[in-house]
Amino acid sequence: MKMHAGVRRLLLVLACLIVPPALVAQQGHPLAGVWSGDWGPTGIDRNPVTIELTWVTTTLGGTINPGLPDAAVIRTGRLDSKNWTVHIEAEGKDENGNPVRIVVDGKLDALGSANRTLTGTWTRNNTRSTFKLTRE
Amino acid sequence: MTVKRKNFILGVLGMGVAVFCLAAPVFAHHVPAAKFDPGRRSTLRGTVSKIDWLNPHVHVFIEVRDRNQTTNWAVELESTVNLRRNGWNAQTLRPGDAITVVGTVARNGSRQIWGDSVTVDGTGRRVFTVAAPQPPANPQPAPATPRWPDGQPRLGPPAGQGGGYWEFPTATTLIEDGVQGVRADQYGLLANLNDIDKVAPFQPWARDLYEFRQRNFLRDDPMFTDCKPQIGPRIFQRPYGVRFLEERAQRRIRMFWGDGNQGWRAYFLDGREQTGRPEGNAEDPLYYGHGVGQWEGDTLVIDSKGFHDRTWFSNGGLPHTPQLHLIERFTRTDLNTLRYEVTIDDPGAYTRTWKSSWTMRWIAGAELPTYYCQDNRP
Repeated sequence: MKMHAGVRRLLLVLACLIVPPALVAQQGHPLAGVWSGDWGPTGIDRNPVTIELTWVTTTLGGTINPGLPDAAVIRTGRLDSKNWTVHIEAEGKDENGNPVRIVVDGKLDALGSANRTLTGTWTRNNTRSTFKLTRE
Repeated sequence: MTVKRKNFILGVLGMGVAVFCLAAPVFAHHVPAAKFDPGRRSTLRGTVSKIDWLNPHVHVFIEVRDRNQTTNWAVELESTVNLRRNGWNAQTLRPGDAITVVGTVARNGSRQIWGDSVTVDGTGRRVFTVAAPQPPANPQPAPATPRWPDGQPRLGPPAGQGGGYWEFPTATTLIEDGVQGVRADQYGLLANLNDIDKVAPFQPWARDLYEFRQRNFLRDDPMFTDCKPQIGPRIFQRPYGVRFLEERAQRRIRMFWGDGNQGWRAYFLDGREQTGRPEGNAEDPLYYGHGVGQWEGDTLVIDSKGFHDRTWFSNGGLPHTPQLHLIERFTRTDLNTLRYEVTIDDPGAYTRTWKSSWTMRWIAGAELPTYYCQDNRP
């Protein structure tokens, strides 16, 4: 399918707009910031997710959203900087008001990159899935 | 060629140019060891085809004849500022000159070499040599600190003189005061990684991130990869100096620096409250934070907070977080000496408050060197 010249120009502009956020990413605590990606049991069955992680003094906190009616609040967060692994536990409620517990275990890759990634296992209640997140 | 086909090719080329423009700065300005492997040395003999006399690094392109093929290599050199200071210029070599280059080759396997030694064939003349810059000697006894009529020290030139700035920091790596025996190069790369724990009172993650950056030869330094500003104490450990503009009528001091982006920052000395921003909005942090100042005797004290963490605040890659709070103290102890002391309070990255200090040398009558990181050359 051939693309109209105007569409190509639009794509060019969009490419220029999309890339710069990589240049303003945070350089401090490697987890602090906004992460987006997906989780799910298979390569096809995926759920989009955005996580905001905060680092205040020595506490890792934040929220996981969406996936529940309201964001799940991170109750426990740990970074093991010897091997750059991450453990996060969050709690929220599903659409019926039932408690949901989310446990995220992952590993940081491309640590020096502005767009580092976090991959691993995503456990919602007792169901294990995989996830991949990229820091924005 | 049909119009549609032509438009398609132009579109693809346009996308390519856009990607190149965005990617080019990534390796434009850097710690040499980040791009070139000190363990892989090579000798090239070739003919100069082009000289790119631009900051942050000059490039000489040479055609190297090897067996039955000719390849083009980029020889990377120091900045135009450093080369000019050593007597070299854009006419030192001409296209067609035959030269021999000895240096370290690029880690990524591309045909690029850092020119440790460049020799003109036939004459044997070494060119583009760069000696370590040395500050001028300070006569003893040192001339007294210049002062304004009210007795306050002047941070710029003495009355009736123009120009002048501060350069030649006695330390180029941020290390806690009182620590002995930690050696590092001008970029902040430690000579011995076993010294990491001596550098600062790190939190574990900050210590390990610092080690990662050191082992990575600082190749992710956003000041080098993206021309992000140097901030805080790093401003006073970079080459090419710092200048103060004392706007006493406005009760304001501005600082300008020659390295990086020819940046500047302003500090108000009018007694305003430290809110994190001039507008009182602490929710929108800045590269340089927001600083307010006051004179304590002969010392200018700048109190800054409201930083974000999108750049590095030190050579060598010491991490900081948006919780960073700096107290910087500037004391001109004589005409030629400015003592700088910084107190670093960042509970997000360090286990306690710590200090570092060094001095800089007055360069009389001179203007800040002209250098722009944004000149970017791949």
